[in-house]
Order: sequence, then C-alpha cells, then structure tokens
Amino acid sequence: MNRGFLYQKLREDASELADNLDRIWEEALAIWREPRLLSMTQHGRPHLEQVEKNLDHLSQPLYQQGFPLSSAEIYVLLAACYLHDIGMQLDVPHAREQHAQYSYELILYSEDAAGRKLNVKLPIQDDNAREAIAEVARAHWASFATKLPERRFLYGNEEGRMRLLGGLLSMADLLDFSPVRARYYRTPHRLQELPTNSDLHQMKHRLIRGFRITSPMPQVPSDLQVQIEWRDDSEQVQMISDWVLHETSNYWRQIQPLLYSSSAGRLRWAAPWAQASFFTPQGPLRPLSREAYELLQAYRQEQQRIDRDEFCRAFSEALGEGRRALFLVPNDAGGDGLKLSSWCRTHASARKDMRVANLDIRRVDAPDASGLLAELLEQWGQHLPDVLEFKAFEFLRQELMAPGKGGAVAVILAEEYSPRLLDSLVGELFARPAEEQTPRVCVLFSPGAKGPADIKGVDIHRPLWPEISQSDLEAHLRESWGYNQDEAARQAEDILPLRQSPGFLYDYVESRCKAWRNEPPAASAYEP
Amino acid sequence: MTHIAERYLDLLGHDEAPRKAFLACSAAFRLDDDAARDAIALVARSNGSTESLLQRIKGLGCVSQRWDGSWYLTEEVRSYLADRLDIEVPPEVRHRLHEVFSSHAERRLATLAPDGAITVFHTRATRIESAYQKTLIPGREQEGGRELGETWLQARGSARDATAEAVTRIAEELTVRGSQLPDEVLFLRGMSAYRRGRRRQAEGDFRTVYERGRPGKIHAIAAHLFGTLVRDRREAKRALHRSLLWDPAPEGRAQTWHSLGNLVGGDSRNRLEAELAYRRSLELLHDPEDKAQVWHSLGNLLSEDRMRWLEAENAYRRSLELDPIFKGQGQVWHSLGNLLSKDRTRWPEAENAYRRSLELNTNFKSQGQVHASWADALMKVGGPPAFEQAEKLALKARTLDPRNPTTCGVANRVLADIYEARGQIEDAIAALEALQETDRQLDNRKHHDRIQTRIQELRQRAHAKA
Repeated sequence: MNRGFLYQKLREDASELADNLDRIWEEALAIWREPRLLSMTQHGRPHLEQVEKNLDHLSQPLYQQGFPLSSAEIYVLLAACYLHDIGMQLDVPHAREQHAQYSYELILYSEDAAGRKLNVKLPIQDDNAREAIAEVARAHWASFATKLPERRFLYGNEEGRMRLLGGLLSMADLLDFSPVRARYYRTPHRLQELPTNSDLHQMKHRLIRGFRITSPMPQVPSDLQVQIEWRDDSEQVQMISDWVLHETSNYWRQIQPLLYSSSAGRLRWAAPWAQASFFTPQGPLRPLSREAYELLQAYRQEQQRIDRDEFCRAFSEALGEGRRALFLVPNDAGGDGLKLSSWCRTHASARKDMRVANLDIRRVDAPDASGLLAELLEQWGQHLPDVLEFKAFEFLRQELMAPGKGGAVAVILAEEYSPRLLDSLVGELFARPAEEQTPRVCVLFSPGAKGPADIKGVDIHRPLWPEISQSDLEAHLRESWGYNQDEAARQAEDILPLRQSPGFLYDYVESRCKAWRNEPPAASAYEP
Repeated sequence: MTHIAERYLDLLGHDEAPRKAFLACSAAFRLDDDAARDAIALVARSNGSTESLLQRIKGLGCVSQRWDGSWYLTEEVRSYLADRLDIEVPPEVRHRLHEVFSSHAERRLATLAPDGAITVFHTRATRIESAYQKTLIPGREQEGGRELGETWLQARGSARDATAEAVTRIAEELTVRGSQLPDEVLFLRGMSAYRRGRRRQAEGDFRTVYERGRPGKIHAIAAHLFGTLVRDRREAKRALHRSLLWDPAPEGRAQTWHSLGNLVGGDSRNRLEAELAYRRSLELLHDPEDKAQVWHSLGNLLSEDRMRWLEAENAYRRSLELDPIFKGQGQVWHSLGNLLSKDRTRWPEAENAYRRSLELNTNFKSQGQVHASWADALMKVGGPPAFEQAEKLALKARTLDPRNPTTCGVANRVLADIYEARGQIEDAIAALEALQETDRQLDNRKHHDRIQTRIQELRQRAHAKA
C-alpha cells in the first residue's frame, strides 16, 4: 500500500506505533480475506484504503491551521479505520445492521481479557488504546460519534480528542463513494444474482467515475467540498445522485457540527458541501434493472415524503397482507396527492409479484373506459385489442382472475370525479381467484376524496388527511434531512405557512434543505 | 393568497430563463421531452442549458409523470401559467410555440402503432392536443376546429361524450384567451351541455352553429339538435329541414326525419306529414335498433287515430322484432299496453304487455311510468272493483319515481278519483293538492281551475259531513 499522509506522519514521529499499526493492518486484511456478506459492496481492503485517504484529506485543514493530530491520535484513528467494519464478518444474524457494535466488541475483546470466546486476535497491547480504538471504530456510525467524550486517555497516559477522531472516521467512511466498491461479483461470470437492493448499491458505485475531497476556493483552503463525477448524465443517474447525496447529507448534517466544534472551528465546509457533475457516457453502460430502478424511485419518494404515515402504513399493510382495499384520498389543488400517488406506485412496484399501474385521468385527454382499461392492462403486461367497452371489462376480469399472477395495484389520479366513468372501473379492480389471497389495492386520488360508497368485499379506507403540522415537518427535517432538534424546529416554523399547499411544501423543503448541487452536464470541464 | 403557480415560479429563482421555460411548458396539455426541449429553446432562448432547464421543471412537484414517459403540469398550475404566457411572451413567439407543439403532436400521431384500444385512446388525446394548438395559431383556428370535430365524429360510444367534454375544457381556455370559438368547438361544448342535461346552454351553442351554418356533418347535427331543443315549432321545423339539406349521411338524415316526425306529430292536423317523415326515416335506416325506435314512434302516432289502431299495433310489434335492447323493448311493451288497454276486449293482453314491460325495464323511472299507466288504464276499464289494485299500482308508481311530475301526476289523479269515490275526502284533497303541485312543475295550467273547484267542493262536503 502506498501509505498516506497521516501514516507518514506517524512513521516520522512514532515509528514503534507505526509498526504496531502495520500489524493491525495485516490482521484487518486477514479478516477481510473471505468476505461473508457477498451481496454487499466492497468493505475490504479497497474501502479501508479509501477511508484512510479520506482521513488524509479531512485532516488537511487541521494541519494547515496548526491543529495537528498527535501520534497517539493518528494511531487510534487509523487502527479504528482499519477495523471499523470487521463486525460485518461476524457470523451472526443482523451482522450488517449491528456491525458497528459488533466491531466495537470484537476489538474490545480481541485479547480475550474478559475470558470470552476469541473471535479475532489483534496486536493491541495497551488497554487504553484498545478501548479507544474500539470506541472510535464504533463511532463510524454518527449516532455513536455524537456520544463520544470530548477527550480521553488514548495510549498509556496520553490524552486525545476522541470526539474529533470519531467525527473524522464517521465522515471519512460516509464519503467513500469510490467506484472500486462496486467491483465485487460484478464479473460477467458472477455466480449469483444480486438482491435488488444490493444491485442498486453496486450500480451506484459503478456509475461513479470518481470523487475528491478538496477545497473549491484556493484562497480558503480550510473549506472543504466533496466533488463527485458520474459517468452518465441520464435522468436515472441524476436520480441516483440525488438519492445518494440526500442520504449522505442527512448524516453529513449530523457529523459536521461535531467536527466543527471538536476541531475548534478548523474543519469547515464550503456551500454547497457536495457537488455532482454528470458526463456523457463513453461506451455502453449496463442500465439499472427494472426492479432496481423501481426500488430507487421508492427510496427517493420516501426521502421526500412528509408525514401521511398512517396512510402509508395502511397501504403497505394492505399489500403485505393480501387485502382487497380501496383508498379514497384527496387530490385537491396544491395538495400532496401527486406526491403520494408516486409514493404508492413506487412502493408497490418495489415489491415482488405485484402488477402496478397508474392512471392519470384528465378531462382534456377524452378518457373513456376502454382507453383507461387499455392503459391499465398495458402496464400489467397485457395488450387490449380495440374492443367495445363491455369486452374490455371482460379482459380486465380475465386478467385479474388468472391464477398465479400475483397482486394487482392501481393508482388512479383523477382530475375530477366522474361516477359514470370511475365507479364501474374501480368496482372491477378487486376480482381475484377464490383460492388466492393476493392483494387487490386501488388508491383513488380525486378532488374531495370522492369515490364509490361501497364495494362488496372491499375495505374502503378514507384516511385522515389533516394539514401537515409543525411536528410532522420537524420530524421530517430531523429524519430525512439530518437537522438536530433545535434547527428542525426553527426551520419548520419558517416553512409552516406553506402547509396549506403540501404539494409545494415538498419542493420547497427540498430547495431549502438541499445542501448539494448538481452541475449541469454541459458545464463540465471534462466534456469530451 | 399567493397562487401556487407563483410559488413555483419563485422557487425557480429570479433568472429569466427558468421562468420562461416553465411558461413555455404550460402551453401544452401533455408534453414529452422532445417537445418540451423545443418549446424551452424557443421561449427561454436557453441555448446550451435546455437540458438542465427541462430537468429542473420535470423535477417540480406540480409535474406528473405518466407511465408512458409523457408528463404534464397539474391543471391549476398550467392554466395560471398559460395566462402568464400570454402576458409575458410576445405573440409571434407564442404562435411559433403552438406550431411547435402542434407539429410534435402530429409527429407523435405518426408513431402510434395502429393496434389496440390503447392506440385509439392515445390517438384521440394526441389529436385533441394537436387541434387545440392550432386553434391558438392565427389563421389556423378553423383547421383546429375541424380536426376537433373530426375527432369527435370518429370516436365511438362513451368516447364521443369524453371528446365533447375535453373540447369543452378547451373552449374555456379559448374563451379566456378571447379567441372566437370555431363552430366545431361551440358544437361540442353544446353536446357536452346536452349530455349533462343543460338544455338551455346546449340550445344556445347549437343555435350559433346552426345560424353560422353550412353543409357538413357537424352543422347538420347542430341544426338537428337545435330543432329538437327550441320551443318555437316553426323555428324548430326550419332547423330540421336545414339539417336534412346539410347532412351528407343517410343515417343522419334518417334521424332528422325521425325528429321531424316527432315535432309535427304533436299537432293532430299534421299527422300525415309526421307519418311521411317517419316512413322516410325508415327508408334511409339500416340499423335495426334505430329502425325499432322509429317504428315505436310511428306506432305512437298511429295509436292516436282510432281508425288505425291495428296499424299502430303492427308498428309496435315490428319494433319489438327489431329492437335487440331490453330497455327499448320495455318501452314499446309499455306503449303497446296503453294501446291495447283502449280496447276492453283486449284488457288481458294489455295487462300482459304492462307485465312484460316491467320485466324488461329495470330502472325505477321506467317502472314508475308503467305502474302509473297501468293504474290509469285499470281505472278506466275496471271501475270500482279494480280500485284496490289501481291504488296499489298508483302508490307504487309514486314510490318508484317520486321526482317525476308526469308519473306522479297520473298517479295522483288516479288516487284522487279512488279516494273521492270511496268517500276518503281528506285523502282525496291531499292527492288533488299533490296533483296541482305536479301540474305546476310541468307548467300545465289547463286543469288548474277544475282541480281547484274539485278541492273546494270536497272541502265543503267534508265540512257538511262534520
């Protein structure tokens, strides 16, 4: 390995610690020799190397402003960097979900000091160092980083800045967008198909050409920015970028204040803190699978959704439990019907064995029942010949009654409620083979939530649709955008007057809270 | 309160280009990326930044993405922006913008594979878009109107009504823009109003089209429908004759002859003219269902002449043979029942006809009418022994269709007669008062005085009895 800036510093100042770190590095590589969770993106050597590079970049402002890390701090930070993901290699359930805690435990008990079963053996003799490394490694999750003490003994009797180290590792890990992470099992001869979620994550890394942590303004070297380059400028890739940066910004917003305060204001970020550039693809690119794209849309919708939890829960339950359910939801001017209809569509599409269709019923399109049924069936993979209306309904019934075809979902967005057109159409959507419990769900968005009063055997839901409240907004700002309690409350108060236009609110919140920028493709300096 | 569209404009920032790009997209009901790119490039002069402007607009919450890749601005935003477009964009650019959208729609039409119900639907929607754009280009309004008319003519069944509804929406837009509505747009707005039961509004639109008249299908239908709606019989007759002259299609003329028969047949002096009109209609028609309706009308006409009851019966039976629709047959059985009930010797046949009608007519309104007719006939034929059955039928008629003044009027008259004959004075007065109310609803003043006198007499009798 071409060792980086921090390592060299350690080697120059404390070669003994550097030697020890080398041995920890070897152990870490040995642990990752056989990755256990094959479907995950790269978490072995390339990831560790990239996180270390990120640490080098992130620590630059500290050195430039006379706030360097001590040898003990570098030792603990780099050792934690090498070991932070080893919990994933533990052969226990939920290793992925709880790996930060498992990594902590593996490091802490790596000397079997407490007589527990030895999972890994690490050459860390100093008890303070082992504890510090375990804590910093666990702190690569922001929630643990925020709980670290400001200072503690790191090595022997030498104290160090724990919160700073935790924050640095957390940020460095968060900012590993590197394309190398997609390498695993991406060969043409791969023996297994990836689950959709993994496919999406792998593609995300594959589509990234590269990224850098840099100072966008040379005259202000302490202000950092992440610049990501994507190898495609398609709408799909821009959506992936927004999904990734939304998620990353959420954590960035939690870690950034911690780093700022623990570095005494030395570690700052430019505005925007991240910038994405998109390039015209060179050569063929494998597109996202349909399932992965649907999942991506579902994730994106979920990131943007404000409240409506009750409805979303009921909708998901109806799908999961194979119910026959009709949801009558308002689609009023300025409302969030449009947003929620997309949410429903993408969430249903992301499920297995689900036929999903959405219908936009607008007066100017001159919709008739045959035309709408044709659109519906086409989305379910059936082609409707040019037939009279009653025949079209027969086709629909046949499609719904065919066994083994899975669930059926129709999301209808009606500009106005026409009982003549909609009552019969909606009424026919719930047929299913007697022996099956596959879901039949229709969500009808119409002005005033109008719809059929009663359909035999179908649960009709009229979910409460109150105005979005300040607490809903606060929760959204905290959970999706990473604001802390006080900041979320302040932002929500500012935005609240817009709650009567909840549809617009989504866009407004995004424009206000979005901390990254997408560079227009044409403006790129690398355009071939 | 700030309009939601203004908020979106604010959100796009203060630069001219995104604002203009957004306005450009409001000129179409349905967009695809190619059309939007051309529109943005034209209006926003976005040389080099068209793609990013397009993506910004498509990312807004007021944009709905359709499953087939097309997209649109929600109506409340689109219509507001379309108004702003008129103010902020010079007319020559606007007209070129509509040309752009129209030609894109025409290109889209050419790419639709001629297969299946989905193509029929998408073709209709795209034609409407293309024609709408043309109605906004000076000098091409009539072309746009003609295409809307043709789209309606080519649509089948409920798609026709839907097309008329769509054009009504377009008419609203054109009216706001101060454009003179092409005849076809007016006609289709009238059709939509007619379907919704807004007769006066429909009459107004049909009159305008009829008065601007010229040979052709749309004008012929407008004249025909105006003739059926206008109260002035002479004007109606003139309109129907004009329709016969303008209509190029025999089926259309046949329907007009039918309507002409209905119109003139209302006056007993013109029965011969009406009969000739019906027979002319029958000569031109080929569709059995249409023919059945004319035979039914002819039967109704002939049944008014005592000497031609047999011919009337034959006409009804001819209609029954031809009509494949139960509902239509139910109405003919009803008429046949009324005819047969006039001949006491054929009362059992009349009752069978009423029963058959009730079997075939499943809606409450029609069933109410049959019950009322049956009760009325029973009173005339059966006398006091039939009172009990007639009362039941009349009460049922009122229950089945309580809002229909004709049905309730007949039922109330029957009930008043029965109650008076039985000496149930208070019930008789109540029935007569209900009859007065139904007459008032029908604007029928003919019997008002007589009913009033009857009520007074009954009150006096009740007083004397007391």
